Amino acid sequence: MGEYSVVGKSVERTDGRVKVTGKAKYAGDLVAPGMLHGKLLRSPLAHAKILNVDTNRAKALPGVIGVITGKDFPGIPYGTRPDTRDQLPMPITKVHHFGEGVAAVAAMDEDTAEEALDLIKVDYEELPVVLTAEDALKPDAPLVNEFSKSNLAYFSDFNFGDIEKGFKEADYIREEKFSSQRVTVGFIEPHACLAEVDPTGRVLLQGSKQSPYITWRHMCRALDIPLSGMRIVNPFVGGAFSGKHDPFDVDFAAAKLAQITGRPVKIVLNYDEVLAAYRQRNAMDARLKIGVRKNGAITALRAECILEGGPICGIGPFNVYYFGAFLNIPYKIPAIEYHGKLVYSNRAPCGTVRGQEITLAQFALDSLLHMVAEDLHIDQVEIRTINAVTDHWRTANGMMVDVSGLPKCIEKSAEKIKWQESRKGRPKGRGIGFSCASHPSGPRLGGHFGSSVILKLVEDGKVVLTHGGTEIGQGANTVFCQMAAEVLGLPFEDIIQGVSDSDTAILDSGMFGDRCTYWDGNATILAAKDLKRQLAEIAAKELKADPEELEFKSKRIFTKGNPEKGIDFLLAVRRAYYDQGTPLYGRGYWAATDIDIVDWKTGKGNLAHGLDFIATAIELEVDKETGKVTLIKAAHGDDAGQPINPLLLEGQVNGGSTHLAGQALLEESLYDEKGRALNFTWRDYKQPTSMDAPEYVVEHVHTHDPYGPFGAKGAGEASSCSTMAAIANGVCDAVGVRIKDLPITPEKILKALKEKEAK
Amino acid sequence: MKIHVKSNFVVPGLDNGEFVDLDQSQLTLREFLEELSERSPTRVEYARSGAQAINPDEWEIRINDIPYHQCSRGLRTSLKEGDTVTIIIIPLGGG
Repeated sequence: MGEYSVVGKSVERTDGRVKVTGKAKYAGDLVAPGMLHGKLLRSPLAHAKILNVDTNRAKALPGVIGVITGKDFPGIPYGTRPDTRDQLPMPITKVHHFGEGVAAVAAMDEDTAEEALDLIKVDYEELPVVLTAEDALKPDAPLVNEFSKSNLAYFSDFNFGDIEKGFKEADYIREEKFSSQRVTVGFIEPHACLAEVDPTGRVLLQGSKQSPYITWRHMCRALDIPLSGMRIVNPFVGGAFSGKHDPFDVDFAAAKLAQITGRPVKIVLNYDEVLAAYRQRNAMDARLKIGVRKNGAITALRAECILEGGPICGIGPFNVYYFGAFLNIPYKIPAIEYHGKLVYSNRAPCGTVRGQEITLAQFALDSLLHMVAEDLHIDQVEIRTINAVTDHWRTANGMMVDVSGLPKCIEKSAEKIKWQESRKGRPKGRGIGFSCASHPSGPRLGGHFGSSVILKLVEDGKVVLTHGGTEIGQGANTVFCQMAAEVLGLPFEDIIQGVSDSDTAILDSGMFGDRCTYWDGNATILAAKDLKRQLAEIAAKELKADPEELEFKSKRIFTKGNPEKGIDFLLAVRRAYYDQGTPLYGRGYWAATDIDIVDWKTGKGNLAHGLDFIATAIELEVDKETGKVTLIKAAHGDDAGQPINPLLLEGQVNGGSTHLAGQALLEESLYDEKGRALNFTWRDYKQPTSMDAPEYVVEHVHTHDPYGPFGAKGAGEASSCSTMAAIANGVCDAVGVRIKDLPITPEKILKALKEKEAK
Repeated sequence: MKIHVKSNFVVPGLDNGEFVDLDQSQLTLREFLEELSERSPTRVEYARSGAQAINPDEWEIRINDIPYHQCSRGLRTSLKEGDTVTIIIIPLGGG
């Protein structure tokens, strides 16, 4: 680890001030000359044939400029994989879930657009609904998706190692079922976009998107336009947490209405619409069977998981894959058998939420590990330490763990939560739960999968950095500016963040899976080195020195070990512009070409670099009278390699933990028997606020990832994977009841306590 | 005729997972992909009808480990007994 000037420092984030002063422009703030306002008409039914849509009265309303339905689109389905294309921009023959957009209006103002929606008449023929995984898989279940002949949307069967041998070697075997609920994603900014079409017919979309590349590709396909026929620019994005990868009816409708009317169209959803009808996390039913030796070492794991994912496949195959393939971390498990399914239903469409379905796998696995430790009278810290993956560990499916700080993370979290002291005595109703987790720093998919960064050297010596990732609040822009500043020997403030625009940036394949810091970070370093090389050649002429021997520090370029023999950085810039007429760009491109492409069939391979690790210990209190759980303290030992910005990293760890504390304790998207959403307002849907957050302690366990930028790994998702089991285990430690179906509500705790007393 | 299939995903309709037994004694890569499509419950489209090439955004196809487009007749390349067709699926998305 080197001595850094900017990297490793908690510098102020590049977008902090404009955001907290309300000056940042989000999609909903954008305006364009002649702009129209769009609104969507939504289905009141969860499953129904569309017999007829009459838009004549809406079209006749003064102020209405355009009205569209699903029939105005080319009818080309799109989807995450070419074998699971089962979505249309808007439905044509049937609606699949409550709140699905069936028509859209563009009008002079929002009120007129709203009024026009009331004038659209849709004739439906109601169909029976499928709400659960069990319903979906019944032989006579109604079919949910018109592009599929089955409600089984996707499946995976993985076998890693010798499962029979593993169970034979076990001294103890335990099998348990776990389940989790539907939850919404929970970003602050609802879906919004502004679409425009220029005189050549080229579409410009400025939307609140997490992965503009994914949106761009899907939209061009479904609108039947070439990729060059669409430009996508990202304004500020108010959070995403995996809920804004895909294009939605909002984006399609705005683009189509702009095409039809020839005017810019903006659509901004309200949050009720988002909670009722947009991406949620799958409901899960899982069964895990674990074999362990007397000392607690795991010998085998068998896992079955069924995810109920709404009416589309979406990224569901990734969810099934992630659940199974990443059972191989954070613990050493020599043999794993996994069977995963994704089924269609008539609830809101699923994508995923922070941590992907590793969160669900880890909730089940680490809850089970707690039970095993209790049965075998092994300390909760010890059983995790025994099984924790270590440096150079090759998992059963072939992943190489280059560097693991997990054992140290476990030690740190136990120390900070005062685990040993708590075993000697603690207040009644108090308990501590542990869980560990790991998350890869981005997978390798087929097709475009790299990251690129462009640095433009401005005449005044400042550098504009444009990358293909997306700043969605996680601090990506800030850490890339830090990395560029470090390499170029410039102050952090001299690196300016450029705009995310598909015309000027090579967009990343997507902003997911903890990949951004790692992949774009490496690309940033390469871009900065490229720029540095060009400047060094210019300075070397002036200094009559070898360009390889020049150092960049404190806005100076000088010969190594002799700061006096040098020139100002700005002078070198001017030489480029004025003497050579050469504006300078630094370009960097990085992709982990040495890891294996995702193998959907087997789940095997060296799937990722930069496995980040976390050990979470949560102290909580359970009120035995009310069943209420109060989180008191969360101690995270976190290995994200070299922290680039410790404060931002801490925010990611704590944010992920608070976010998933919501899924553990509070949140659930509820539906009635007809599939209609019940709690789609913030009044009824409970997410945690700062009032629910415990005291947080984050102990950074510094490791150095051999492939990561400055040794960094990805961050932000591991804590979301470890938190739910830590809470479930904490409740068990506090009052001796085990809740295996999320959320852990006061009602469930009281019921379990009652049952326990009756025994 | 038996054609082996290698893939990084479960090819829909390929029950045994590893090869296709065909009545024909000769067929082109396009015809083979159309046959696979016929066998899949959702008629997965590998080669768009009328298109001269596979969309590289969607699939990567090789014949006996040689990219199909490097075979002189491309999609019209004739397959023979025991050939291996590799199909790599290219997703668009992530979590």
